[in-house]
Amino acid sequence: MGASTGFAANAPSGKLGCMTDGLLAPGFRAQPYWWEAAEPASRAPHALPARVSVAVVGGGYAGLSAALTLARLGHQALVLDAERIGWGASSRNGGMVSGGLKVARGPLERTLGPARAAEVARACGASFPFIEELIAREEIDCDYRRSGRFVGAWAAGHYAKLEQNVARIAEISGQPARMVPEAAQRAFLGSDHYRGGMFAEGTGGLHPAKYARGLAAAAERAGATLASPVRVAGAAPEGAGFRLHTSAGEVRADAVLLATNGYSHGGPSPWLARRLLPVGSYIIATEELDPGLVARLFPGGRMISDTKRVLNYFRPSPDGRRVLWGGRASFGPITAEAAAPRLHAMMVDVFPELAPARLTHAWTGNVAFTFDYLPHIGVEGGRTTRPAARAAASRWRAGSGIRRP
Amino acid sequence: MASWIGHQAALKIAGAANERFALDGLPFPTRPLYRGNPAWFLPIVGRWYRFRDALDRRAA
Repeated sequence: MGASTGFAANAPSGKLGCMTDGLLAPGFRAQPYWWEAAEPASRAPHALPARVSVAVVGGGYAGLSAALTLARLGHQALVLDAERIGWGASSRNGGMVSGGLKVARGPLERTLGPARAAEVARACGASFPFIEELIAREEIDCDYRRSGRFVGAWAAGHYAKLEQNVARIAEISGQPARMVPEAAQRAFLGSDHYRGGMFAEGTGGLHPAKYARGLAAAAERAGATLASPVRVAGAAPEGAGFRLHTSAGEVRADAVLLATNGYSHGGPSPWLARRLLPVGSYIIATEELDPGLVARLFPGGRMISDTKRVLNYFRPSPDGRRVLWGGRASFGPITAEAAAPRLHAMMVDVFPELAPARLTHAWTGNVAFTFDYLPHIGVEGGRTTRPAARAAASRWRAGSGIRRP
Repeated sequence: MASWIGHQAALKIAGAANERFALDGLPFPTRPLYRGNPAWFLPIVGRWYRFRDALDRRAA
């Protein structure tokens, strides 16, 4: 998921409304809890190379992972981000590794037909072993754990829909997935809020900002160049390649990869922006709680999400001391401070014990939806005979995104 | 998923993919008049989604 154009950070507002009185802990910060351990690093500005083989626009997970792979294959990759590397959803999401779970739950057969749907589901499921291998191979220190995910059914009808898909999810992820009736859900979640749910083992949790930092370090070790903050204003075809106009001067590249996802609007490709719906997601972190309480609310330390259209996703912090709660607090742009009481209320609906828990952090970031709810890669404008491909990568929601993201 | 998508895009650019990636080159839809900023209609979608969520819960 991507980084970076057209996103205004929420500056802490000086005055908080009475709604938030007593809700915010002393020292409250309107920035990601994840940044306490791994705030995206500033990089000293340096002159850009005049020519590279691939220019990657957007220094989030997609762009960094692409740069790592390109560098390993012997290509000179340059990553450009208008903000700090990893500043967007990559250091703001819930840290839930979903392993294709969301795509597999979608209406694939209806939109693609059964044969194509099976291919797409397999392609998404392959993301799970990929990220586990990547973290292990590059020795990325990011608190990764294959925790499993419990998906709470908001309504009985939602439970029935989950049940229709559970076999496919198990097949795609290569890991067990099973239904959990309402009477048994306390084994997965310290709440009676849901009508049962589904538990998928082929999913995990990590520290998203540490992962972004580790992925950036891996790309650099492999030989990629990361430059930020550098805003790309445009990428015009020239000869067999492209000429990029940036805030740090011009760069020529044989190919351009756009990996700007939720921050594509106002970026170098109006074509890509027209295909992505940026939506703000919001997360709060509680102050440190009694670890016994957190363990009771999250038996086994699972990642949790639900089936509501206005989704909730929540988890213990990697150290087991806090609850992190994410959701769509608003469909219009609001500040993190304004979102905080709404998310707190949603959290208390599910966990009444957390009513007295104060918040130390609240933050927001963009995810992007596509109109067909699928992640995409491809060449801008469709097929091309040009040897120099201009590829666009995007993804469906921030999954872990910030709905993870 | 984003890491995987980026990896696959890199293989495509490098011409190093061993097999076709199923998410490559699917029709990538947009909507008439949409220019990349959904701010004006998201609140409407949001109200509709909240209404549908409430309806589903009651039907249960």
